[in-house]
Amino acid sequence: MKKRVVTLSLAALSLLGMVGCGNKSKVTVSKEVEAAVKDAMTLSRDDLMKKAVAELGDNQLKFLAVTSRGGKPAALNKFAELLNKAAGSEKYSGDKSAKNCPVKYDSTVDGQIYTTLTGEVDNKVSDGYSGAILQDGYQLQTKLIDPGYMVNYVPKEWNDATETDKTSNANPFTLQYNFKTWMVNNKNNDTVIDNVWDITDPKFKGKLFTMDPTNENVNMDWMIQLTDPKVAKELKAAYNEASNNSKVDLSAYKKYGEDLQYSYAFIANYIANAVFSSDDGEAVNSLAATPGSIGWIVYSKIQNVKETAKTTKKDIVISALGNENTDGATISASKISGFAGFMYKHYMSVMPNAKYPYATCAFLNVLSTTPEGYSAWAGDVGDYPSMPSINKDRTKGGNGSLATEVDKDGVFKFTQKADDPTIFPCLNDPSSNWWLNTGKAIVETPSFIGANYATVYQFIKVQLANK
Amino acid sequence: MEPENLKENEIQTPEFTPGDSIALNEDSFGIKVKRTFNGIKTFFSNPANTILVFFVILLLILNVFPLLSVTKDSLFVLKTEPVPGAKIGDFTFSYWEETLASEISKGYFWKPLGRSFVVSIFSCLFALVFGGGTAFLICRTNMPFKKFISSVFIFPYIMPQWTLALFWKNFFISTACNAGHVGEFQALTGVVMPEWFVFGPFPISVVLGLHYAPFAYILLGGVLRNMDANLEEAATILNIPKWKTFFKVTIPMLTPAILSTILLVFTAAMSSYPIAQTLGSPVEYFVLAVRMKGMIQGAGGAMAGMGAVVSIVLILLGIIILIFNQRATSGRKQYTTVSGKAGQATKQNLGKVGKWVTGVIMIILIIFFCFGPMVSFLLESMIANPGDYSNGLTTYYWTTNDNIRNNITGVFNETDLWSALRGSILLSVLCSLAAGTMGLLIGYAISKKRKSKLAQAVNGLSFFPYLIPSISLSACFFFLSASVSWLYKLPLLVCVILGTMKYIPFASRSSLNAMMQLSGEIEESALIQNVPWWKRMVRIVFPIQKSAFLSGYLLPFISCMRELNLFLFIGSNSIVLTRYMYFLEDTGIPALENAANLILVVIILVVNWLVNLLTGASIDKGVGGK
Repeated sequence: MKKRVVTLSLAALSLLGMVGCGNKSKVTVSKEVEAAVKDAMTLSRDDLMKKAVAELGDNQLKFLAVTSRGGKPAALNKFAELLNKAAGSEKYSGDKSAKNCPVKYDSTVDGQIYTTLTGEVDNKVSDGYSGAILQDGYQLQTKLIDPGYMVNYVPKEWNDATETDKTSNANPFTLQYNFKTWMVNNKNNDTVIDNVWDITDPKFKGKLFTMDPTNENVNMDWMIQLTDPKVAKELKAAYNEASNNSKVDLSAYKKYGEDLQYSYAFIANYIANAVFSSDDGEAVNSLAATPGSIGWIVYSKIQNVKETAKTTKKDIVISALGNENTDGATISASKISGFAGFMYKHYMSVMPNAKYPYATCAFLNVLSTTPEGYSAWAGDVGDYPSMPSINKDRTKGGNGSLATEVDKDGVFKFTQKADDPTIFPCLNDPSSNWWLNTGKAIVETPSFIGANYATVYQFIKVQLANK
Repeated sequence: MEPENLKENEIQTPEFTPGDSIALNEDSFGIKVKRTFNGIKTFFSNPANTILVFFVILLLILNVFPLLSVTKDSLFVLKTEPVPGAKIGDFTFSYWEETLASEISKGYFWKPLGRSFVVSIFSCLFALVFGGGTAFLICRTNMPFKKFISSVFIFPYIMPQWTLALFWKNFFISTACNAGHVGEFQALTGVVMPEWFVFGPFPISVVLGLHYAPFAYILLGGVLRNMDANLEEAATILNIPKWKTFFKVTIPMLTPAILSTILLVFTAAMSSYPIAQTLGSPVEYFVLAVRMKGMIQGAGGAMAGMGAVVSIVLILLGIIILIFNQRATSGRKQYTTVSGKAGQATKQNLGKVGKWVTGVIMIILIIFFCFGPMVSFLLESMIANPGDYSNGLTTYYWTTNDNIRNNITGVFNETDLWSALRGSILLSVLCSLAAGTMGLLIGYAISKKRKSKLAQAVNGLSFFPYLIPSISLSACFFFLSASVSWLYKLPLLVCVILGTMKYIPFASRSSLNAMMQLSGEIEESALIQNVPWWKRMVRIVFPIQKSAFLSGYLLPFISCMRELNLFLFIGSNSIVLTRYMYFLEDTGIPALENAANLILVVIILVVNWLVNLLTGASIDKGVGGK
């Protein structure tokens, strides 16, 4: 009997050892892919398209992204148009349902995308996804960059442009910044946040709507980034300002260090007050329906709030912009002490097992350096391309007129006109430079997050466990 | 024995030589082989044995990989969740320790586990009382409106869980809740519902119970409808009071169905995530499944090891209930309710007034719970902001060809939505056919050989996938398919395999319940006349228990249509509608998401109706709606 138990245990252990589930040996980038991407970086868009046509032929490249927007008709049409120009015929169509559409575009969430991509690489899938748009600096660093799976392509047009920030955005290559910011529902004129520490006030317990950090990891990345010494100093300064209404007790956090105690105290009290939604859209709906509540929500989601007799974006105040923001271009100081928000990025990568590396680079080029390719994002507040010239001006996006009659879509129609009075101060979106410099927005840094994740996450885990 | 004696007995004994010894051994070996062969032949000549052997092999293959991978994740250091002082791949008990006995254990494991028990027990009770009570009223009383009640009672199960939770929240939320606002009920009546009624264990239990009440309704109703009246009639003849007959005769006869209901509801409720997330998280009432989802899916895998531990705990809990169920339904106890000489039980008279009062109360309850969410979907698909009716209703989000946002048009013109719907229907039909047929065969074989170890093994194995979290199954099958290049190119096939495996328990439970009620004598009489097995199945067994068997096809279809987590890693949005809905949520057009939900529910109802039309059977009819 004893012998049988031992034998069975050994058999089970050896079987366990055989069960792979993703832990395969390290795969290096194929030489062909590496050479093609290196070459693609030296080619102009037109020349790259010629290489892409020769490589792609009548096939489709498979592309995976954390956003569905890159697969919208404007981008696909532009890509097909450029390929057709290079081919000298109408070989390709931008219609995604057509067989001759050059891209098969799939989307998923950051919780799954790395599993899918690394799973394909580990298992040497030969016709898997050739390229990807990714988010979540932590997983990017630990699952793609560290194992050497990230093949970085920087478009020549982007590299040649003087407006682009090569230090921050070239490696890993950044398509755009997404922006998460503080906002309040000030319907009753009684809710203001003029200091980031205000959100830790116990009166906001259960009234701070935000997204569950375990649901989308960029929300965890933000908390890790809060322990960056530079951010800790900002938090310390804001804590000591008179505008801070919530002097949280720091004694429990002193062990983390002179400056870092502020970071840890902020994280703990933010988690204590937060109501976690499964999605930012759900969080903004709750904020819009609840006067006196506050939110830490992706800025672009504010556009989900439609104008009705009961609900209006007029009630939503972006804390850093205040409620008298008539022009995002001329706004001076931030109305909130501390940081105005968190810039997290959409990164682009060619996969090391890419079947069509030139075509993948060509598609990435279209998305990141042409107005048409970026158009699906350009209309939204809070999305900022790493190449600012392809963006739309949204600094007076909240100026215009609001109809008094309900339109066919069940809302009061807003007609935007820059020279008209301001209707929605929250929509007059400043530039990314304003947010970064004046608003002191925190920027996601994959290397910092990757290096500090384990330590800070231990602390966050305890806070989440105590909820 | 002496040679002389042998001669006397005229028995020829061959001379003993080495060569002959080999011949003798060869002979005995040949006899042994022949005997073994005959034994095997005899064994496999019984179709039940063949089915059991086939499924024990198949289910072992399908179950071993995900089970071992979950176990491995809990015992070896993961890349995503490093352990101080250990290398990736090292053996460790660290994840177990962290889950069960660390400073975060209480918040992440013990407290949520306790809460999961609370809501699962109460949802079981609610499902049994509400579902079983309704089944009893329909099958065994003279209550009016039976057909209507029976046909709509399954609606809450058809609807995705989170939609029911959202309906509850939108309807009852009030200004008494922290961060609450005026909800539909408060707007209509002025009554402010307390927070405990809107969020926390009470609404989670009720909504979970409501969602799973159709399980109880289908399983108990099937038995109640087909129950042999002899025992109850004997009790009546003996002047036993009706309540005593109910508790001492009827309820014991229902034991397998009650235990199956508990097994299905309890295990499903323990691992249910969306209802607890919607109705628990706002008041920080986290159950184990909510915590587990965060561990498995979130934080870039930084809690994946703990997630695996929790998965194993949930699987073990399921196994304990499974063993309990098996012990209770195996052995010498017989639960035959359909025999060759059954008579229909007489209906209980609720009284002239009583029957109408009961009927009206049931109608109100059913309309509220079954139609409320659908009405809510419809209304929500006609407004711009969720829950905001201040600007009236519009059909814009259904009919427009305008670009509402991000190149998404109205429902009727949104090609992606229809393509995803087609994908979902195809996938669900394939899964339902495969799971339904396999479940039927498994149920048949187990019932015929239920005392054999092989049957018990298949019974347990067929239920295993139900216990493994969908998301873990999805990830494991993704890796499995990625390592087989031809399989990876056929995501639909992988989805079908996964869906079939996950939904076999529904079909096998349903089939097993039906088979256990079927007296052996029914098939035996055909057997005596040498009727082949397939003919006995098609002509005798299936027609008698048609309703229960067909529910074994319909349940996988319904479950597959509204499944999300199982297909997260496999296929694309065009294969599964719920995945497309997930992305509609991301685009910020809730009206379209609600419309898609409504379409999903309507499609399932239409399929139920079509099955009814074509085969004369349906889930509700099986219980006795006519």
